[in-house]
Amino acid sequence: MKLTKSFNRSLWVFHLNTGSCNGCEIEIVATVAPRYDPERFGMRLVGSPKHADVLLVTGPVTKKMAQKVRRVYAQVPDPKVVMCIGTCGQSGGVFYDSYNLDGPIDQVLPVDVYVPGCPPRPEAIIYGVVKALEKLERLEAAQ
Amino acid sequence: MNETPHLSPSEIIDLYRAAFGAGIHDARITERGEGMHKTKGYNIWIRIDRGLLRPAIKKLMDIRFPHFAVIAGNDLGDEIELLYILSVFYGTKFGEYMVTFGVHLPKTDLTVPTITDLIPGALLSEREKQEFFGITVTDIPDGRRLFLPDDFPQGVYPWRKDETGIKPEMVRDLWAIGRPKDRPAPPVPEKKPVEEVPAAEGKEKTPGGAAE
Repeated sequence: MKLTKSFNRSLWVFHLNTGSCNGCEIEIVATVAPRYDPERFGMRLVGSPKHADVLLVTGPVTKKMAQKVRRVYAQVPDPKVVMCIGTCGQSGGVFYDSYNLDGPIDQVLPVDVYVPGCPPRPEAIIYGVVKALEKLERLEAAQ
Repeated sequence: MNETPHLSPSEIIDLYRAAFGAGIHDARITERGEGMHKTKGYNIWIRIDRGLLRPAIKKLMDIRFPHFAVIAGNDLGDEIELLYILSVFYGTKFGEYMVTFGVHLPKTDLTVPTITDLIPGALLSEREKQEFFGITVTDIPDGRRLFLPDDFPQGVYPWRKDETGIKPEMVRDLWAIGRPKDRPAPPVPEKKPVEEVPAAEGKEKTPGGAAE
């Protein structure tokens, strides 16, 4: 992992909600807000998956959303890293007895980094992004 | 727009009792505290005959045109209760009342008249009640499904608590699925963690540094 004074390039993140309760969204917004300020390293949320290096996926994948998740994933350019934020994308969480799910997320997309928690704290999300950065640098070195 | 003067909650209930008489099964007022100073606010609950639902909403429109919030529903066992939640006198500070019309539908005859000709915005809520409770809204202009996927089985109504509710085999236990095993190996192996060199011995200082 390089992580020198500056990264190879800034890391742009696209956030995708697949049926989350919005708890993880609040924590993601808290992560990018000035208290932790990851934008000083160039990490920011972008409005289109075509601009992103990292895909943050929250929520258990609902049946109507599964196909859209695959489409968004296909739009992210390579090399890309998928992060699963929150418990419900991994084991159902509070939606464990729902009748309308196609999840967990790793049945729909190849997930690289899991950040458990309901919701995870911003520190956990930042740690996950650092792990994603390490993986992205390895992927780029392999290309 | 009709400009009836601002009425108190009990005056509204008196109007309804005078107009519908025995069609009103239950009418009560509950208080709630609004804001930091817990200023009194009022909820009005009126349970009426199914046939009086549309006249009751028309009557409320004569008093002052209401805000339509939502139609709530509840499976009571032998009947399904629909709660039409509206508010009236909005825009008056601490003078807005929530007015809730309750209608009980027996499960042998689950039909209710539409109110979309009176309040067009009620359409989405009526479509939702149709698919989640299996009721029939008569004369609904658009009776398609709203939230459920198109391949959802017919005759299953997720909010019902009887045998037409969700079957246990429809629940996909995400926690039991586990990690996928058919993924390709990552293209580059992870680096081994660097072993930490143990700190050189004999350099520990006693706290304070004054021990002899």
